[in-house]
Amino acid sequence: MHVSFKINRPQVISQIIEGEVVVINLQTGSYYSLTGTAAAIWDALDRGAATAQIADTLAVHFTDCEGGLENVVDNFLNELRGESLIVPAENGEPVVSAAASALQIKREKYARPALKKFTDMQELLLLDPIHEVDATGWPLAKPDPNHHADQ
Amino acid sequence: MPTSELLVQPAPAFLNCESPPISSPANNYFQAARKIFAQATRGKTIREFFCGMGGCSVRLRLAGESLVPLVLPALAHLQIKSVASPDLTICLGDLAELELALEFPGEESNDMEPPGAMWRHEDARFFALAQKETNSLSLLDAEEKLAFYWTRNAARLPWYENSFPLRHLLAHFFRRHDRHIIHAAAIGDETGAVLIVGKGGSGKSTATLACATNGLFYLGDDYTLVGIEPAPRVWSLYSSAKVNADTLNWFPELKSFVHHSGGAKKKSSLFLHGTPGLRFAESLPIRAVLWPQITGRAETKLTAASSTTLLLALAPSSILQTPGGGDSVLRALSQLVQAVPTRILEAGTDPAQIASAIKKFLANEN
Repeated sequence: MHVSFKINRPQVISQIIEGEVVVINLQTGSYYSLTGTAAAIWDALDRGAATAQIADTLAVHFTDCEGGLENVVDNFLNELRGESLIVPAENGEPVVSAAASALQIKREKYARPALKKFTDMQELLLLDPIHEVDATGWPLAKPDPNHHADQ
Repeated sequence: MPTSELLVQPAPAFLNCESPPISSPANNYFQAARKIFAQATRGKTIREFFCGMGGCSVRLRLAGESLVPLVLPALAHLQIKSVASPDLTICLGDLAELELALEFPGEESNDMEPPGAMWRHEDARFFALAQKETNSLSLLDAEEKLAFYWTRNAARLPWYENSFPLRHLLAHFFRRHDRHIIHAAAIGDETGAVLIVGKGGSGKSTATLACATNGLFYLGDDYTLVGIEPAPRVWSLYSSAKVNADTLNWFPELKSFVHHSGGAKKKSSLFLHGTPGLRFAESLPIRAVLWPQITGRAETKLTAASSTTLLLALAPSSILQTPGGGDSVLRALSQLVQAVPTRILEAGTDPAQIASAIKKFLANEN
């Protein structure tokens, strides 16, 4: 039985451009270039497609692929998961219908999905981690006791 | 900048007004910080500096003297005449100089390690960023167009802070106006600018100074402001440049403008405002995005590069250095690299040829 995945937002941001995906993990500082059919897989994930649907739609879309698409997709999703770019979708989380998961990405020829990782920006985050907060964590600011408060 | 160039005003009454009728931890803290600034300046004069950036007018109100040399030199080239209702007013104070106390958010948190840690809050109205390394706090109330910058002790600010003052506060303010501070240099001619992108050591500063000292307009070396709609445009933010010793040896005429020397191994910092023969532009349309590669050859040429390649060179460092933008900045930069030509700048060893290649590119792309 397949596990379905979703993009690990908000710590992972991405843009599909020229048939490739540029992905940045804001928490680790690593960034990625996803090539080949990766854009189609990422696009399907982004629109909530289940894992099985992704392989099925790829098979329809890329008629020139070498076969074994299910394994290709599984392996690639494992790679993405290993980088914390995707996480398992929660139980009961709605996924789109097969029709709705039809690929939006145009690609004339099949190319195996590939992930290239860049780590040269990690030091920016390791030096300057950011602690995002909501309404909590504010100190009660007190005027300096050496100064008179407003009357 | 001599302080005599600044307007000296009585402390404004607006600082003493009542808090807006909302109650939230962010608002309560903002109003407390506001009250402390009012106390610090009551009955005293404050210095005012107006600058135009990103198409907006920004008023800096400085309590005391210590922050003047740390904030204003990098912005001196953007100075404008005073305006009655600026788009943003930033009140700046040095707690040590003013002998004031203000607890910063996150100060007591065990999470605030290592030294560069930041504590950040953002909601529909307020923004706050406390930085441990600089011991500073930036606060913005977007609704009131009012911001505060507090530092614990200006004398202990890291040297590089005066190269890019108020960067995080301005980044957040401009994001609310669909403009983004990015990690890119910009130079250009009367027809427009090219952005030069890439991490430290890529040749970005070398190419930028080569162009600036050979007749092209200078808009910035490390951080610039861009907007995508209605057409891609870049605005100057800082007159500073950071260069290593080798690059500085290429431009001996700039050595007298170094305000912090990094010696032989680290980068030195310069303020270029006032450099004879160097021309600043406040804003230009973006004509192209270039990624320099140092070739070691004499000649310089521009070669084709994909939009994706340039996005990878530009987006990560821009987004990771000014946190909070995330998705919106990546989307904007993706639009940018698809809207204008993208090229590799194969930078040669002759500064004049680097400038010549870019001038030729700007002329031919018209």
